[in-house]
Amino acid sequence: MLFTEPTFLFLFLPILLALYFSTFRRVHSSYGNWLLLIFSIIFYAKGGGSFTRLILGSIVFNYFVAIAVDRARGSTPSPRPAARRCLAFAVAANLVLLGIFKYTNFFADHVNTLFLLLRVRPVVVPRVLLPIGISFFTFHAISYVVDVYRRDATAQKSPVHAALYLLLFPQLIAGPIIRYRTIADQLARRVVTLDDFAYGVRRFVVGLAKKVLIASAFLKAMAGLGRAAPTPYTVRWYLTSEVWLALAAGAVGSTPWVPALAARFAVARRPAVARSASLVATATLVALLVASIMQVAAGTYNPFIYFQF
Amino acid sequence: MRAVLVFAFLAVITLPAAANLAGHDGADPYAENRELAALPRLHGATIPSLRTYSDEFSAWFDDHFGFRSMLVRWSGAIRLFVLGVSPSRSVAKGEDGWFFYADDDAIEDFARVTPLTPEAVANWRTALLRTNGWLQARHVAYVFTIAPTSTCCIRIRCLRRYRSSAISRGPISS
Repeated sequence: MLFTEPTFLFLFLPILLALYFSTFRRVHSSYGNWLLLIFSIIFYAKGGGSFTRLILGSIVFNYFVAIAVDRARGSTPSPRPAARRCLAFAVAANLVLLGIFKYTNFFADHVNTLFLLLRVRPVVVPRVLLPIGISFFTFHAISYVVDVYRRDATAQKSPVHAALYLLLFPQLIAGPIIRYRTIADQLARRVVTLDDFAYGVRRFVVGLAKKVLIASAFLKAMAGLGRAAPTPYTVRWYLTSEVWLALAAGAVGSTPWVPALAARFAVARRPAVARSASLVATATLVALLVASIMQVAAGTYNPFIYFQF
Repeated sequence: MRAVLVFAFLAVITLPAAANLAGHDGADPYAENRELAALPRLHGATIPSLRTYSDEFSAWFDDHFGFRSMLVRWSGAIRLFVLGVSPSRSVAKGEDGWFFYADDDAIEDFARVTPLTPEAVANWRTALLRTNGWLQARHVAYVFTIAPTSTCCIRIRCLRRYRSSAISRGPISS
């Protein structure tokens, strides 16, 4: 499942939010964790299919190995050799898993190329499918065990919390890799306020707009230019005003003075200025959200007469 | 303003599924060049059947979520009237409200991106002259014509900005 799919935007996300906030509490712990874990498994299973079992198996492994590292580490300032061996085993096992799925065919192809040059019969290696998000997942798991080894955090005793840390769907398939110590406390108990939710909405809307309005316009243009011969015609045909607008929006949006200016307006001494800035920011975000949703809908459309209007 | 933003966000992501639950189908089945996905039925509670159902349900939802056709129309209108670009890569926007078919390299042909090589033109000429000679020997008239495309017919409203040079129209003569 992708964040830009209608199924995610209009079904998965609203149902999850409705169930998550159905308790009408600001403090979220056990119920919210179970819910997030179940939805994260559904999220992964939707795209990952049979690899879900592999990921769940890896979670079980890392859960127990982190506890083993924690016990072997003890409370001494310098780690015992047993803890180091445990850590090395955990890191190696995670990397082997990554290596099998990500690099088996890569190495086999290169070795076979060499064998062809040497007139040696090539090695037959079946095609290994790549589980979605295996890289992020692996390094996430390694960072968890390393945090426990360094005593930056204690090993998670709750399998639900450990699984949620590794499987939480917003970062599961594309990162970023969040250090376990950063969110260990929030896994057990967290408070969600309107400010937090609004901040999350802002981040989500901006990210969605970057993906479906800016990145997609570029992707189409670059893919078209890559296929076509570089003539003035193809440049005019693919680099439309839409692409230039996306380029300008991306350039302006990525400059550091935009958030600095927004922050300055937000804390303006004159209340009228701060209110106007807040109004403009909200209107812009709502416009971006609606434009992104329209683009998502247009992406599902296959026009009958080659025309969408 | 935070509350407004949160309310707008929740409304936008909730309304399509709510419309489906209220019986509103967001699809316009006569406007698409394919058969839209049908609402699937669950056959058994095994993992493969659940997976199949999940995929089929996603396909159905992608086609039928509430307000879909309206959002597509809005998207097309904004691209056309605000950004000034064609809503579809298969259609080129011309002048004075004219639109032209752009698939199958139609615009490339018009813009002479890949004109025939002199060898190819010579081959065509030879083939046509040979055919003409064979038919004339049997007292059969031979007329060769190339059907003009819409871009050629409506020359004045063509996509001038895509033109690199004028189209050659010289007759093939012996």
